Amino acid sequence: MPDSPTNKRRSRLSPPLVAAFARLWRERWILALALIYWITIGWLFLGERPVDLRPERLLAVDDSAQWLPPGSVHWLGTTPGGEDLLMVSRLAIASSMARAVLVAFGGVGLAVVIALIGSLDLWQGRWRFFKEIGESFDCLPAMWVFVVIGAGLSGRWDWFLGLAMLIIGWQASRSMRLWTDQLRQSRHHLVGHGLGLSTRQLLIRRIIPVLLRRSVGLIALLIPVVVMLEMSLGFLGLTGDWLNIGTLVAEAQPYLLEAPWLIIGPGLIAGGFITIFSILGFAVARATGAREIPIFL
Amino acid sequence: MIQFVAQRILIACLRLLIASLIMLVGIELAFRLAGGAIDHAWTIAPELFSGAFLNDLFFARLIGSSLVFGLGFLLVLFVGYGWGLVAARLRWLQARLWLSAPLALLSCFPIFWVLVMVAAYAYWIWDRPGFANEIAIEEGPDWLGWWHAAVQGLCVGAGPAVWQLGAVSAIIGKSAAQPFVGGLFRAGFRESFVFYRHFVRGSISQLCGLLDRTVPCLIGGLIVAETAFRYDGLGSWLVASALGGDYLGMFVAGWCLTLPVVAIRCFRECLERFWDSAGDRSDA
Repeated sequence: MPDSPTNKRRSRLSPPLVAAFARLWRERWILALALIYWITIGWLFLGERPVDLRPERLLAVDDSAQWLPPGSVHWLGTTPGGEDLLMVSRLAIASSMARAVLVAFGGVGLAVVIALIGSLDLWQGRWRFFKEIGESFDCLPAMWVFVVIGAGLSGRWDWFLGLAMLIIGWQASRSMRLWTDQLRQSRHHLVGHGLGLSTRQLLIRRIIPVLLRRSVGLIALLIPVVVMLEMSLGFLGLTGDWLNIGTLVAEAQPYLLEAPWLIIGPGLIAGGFITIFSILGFAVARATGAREIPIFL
Repeated sequence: MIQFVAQRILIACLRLLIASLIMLVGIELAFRLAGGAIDHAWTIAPELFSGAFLNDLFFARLIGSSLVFGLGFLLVLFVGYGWGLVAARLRWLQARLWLSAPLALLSCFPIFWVLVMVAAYAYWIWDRPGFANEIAIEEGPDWLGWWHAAVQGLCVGAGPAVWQLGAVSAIIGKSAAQPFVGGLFRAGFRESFVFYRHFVRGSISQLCGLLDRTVPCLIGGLIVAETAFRYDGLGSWLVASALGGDYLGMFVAGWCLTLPVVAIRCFRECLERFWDSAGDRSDA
């Protein structure tokens, strides 16, 4: 039977370009969320910044203290050194955010590796032994580990990044393992096996793309969690000279009666940002299909 | 069942032992190897076995932290299971979102900041000492102590409670999506009957599995909250010991904070087993 003529206009664009456009259109909600996300992060990192950002320098009170309460010029007031508190809080959140992004990417990358090792079952029965040891490790509160290691290595910034990546990677690997198991028991996987595809092929074509897609949601959810953790450690005095909201609040506590805005403003800014990033994180996680996320830390 | 419980208790003891070893290794790595301290972590052994830390202050800290943890955990159980059930029942009204919104908003603000603000508010508005270490009640009921514990329990439990609420409503919601549900409705069963008899009963085993998931997070919050509110507890003792390089304080506080995690996990495993065996008996 000859091909019947159709009235459809053929696209002049090449098929790969059309396919790419169609794919982008399918992912439009994720792209929109990512855009909002990166605009907010971009705003955080733009603008002027003072040279010395050490919290004890910013909040040092001497005879020449020029702090101003909140007003029309300085919405949150100023520090004793005369710096705008809104700008200082923004920079504190920005530096925490930068570290959180690094930790979240590293941790989730580690989680993917752990999940894939479990999925391939390289060690056959020995994986179970490590799982049992891991469950004992889960009994130890993560904050104990952060407090003790942080106190031992006080003043060194690299410990936090490495340790947080390890702990978050371990905790996130629970979700990854769950997703891997669900995918391995899904109909697509069984049909693939029935059609003669090997485990390696199914892993590369089916499991890894889904895990990577959901990793984006997991990273988005983890960023506010890590920011909160870093602020808490800063408040406890375990992050050395880093500028973060926790250190600012801890350093400003002696002036709670004379200059309460030194504590109120940064806390409100921190709460606002964590709320926004948590909502965005949940939206991204939902859009990428990342569900059954464990409670972290 | 008794054999199973004995087995789980033995495994819990082993877990506690492994966690204690990890704690010792952690202290050794952080203070001796990386921090350059002179003493090894195991130098605490004589003090530990002689019970040098068992003084009145230790018991006061233990009771104080138990109070905060207990109130926080009660909040998690009440909001997580109670409101989670309501949220699943009213799922078409998106009840999960508006029920969890107040606590979710609270959990987005740093715990230490909220507690410092509570202390400042108590000082400015109520004209009384704000932080927990500023007054001691010597006679009569210690209502102020309960207030301090309740404020911390609320702040510590808010985040885990929201997570638990979401998890409970998601588990029950998943049972509502099963294929037999449509058949039950077509057969004329009422929605409330189907909900409690099938959705909730069918999910109880999974709901039991959530019992211990929030405990490490609660303990983590406790450490920050006690330090911020200047409350005499195991969390503030841990931070003070870590900053002062006191190995015994770090180890004992860590051990006491690990104990509830292990105990509640053991209880959860027994509860799950009990429910599964009860289900098998009723099926038979």
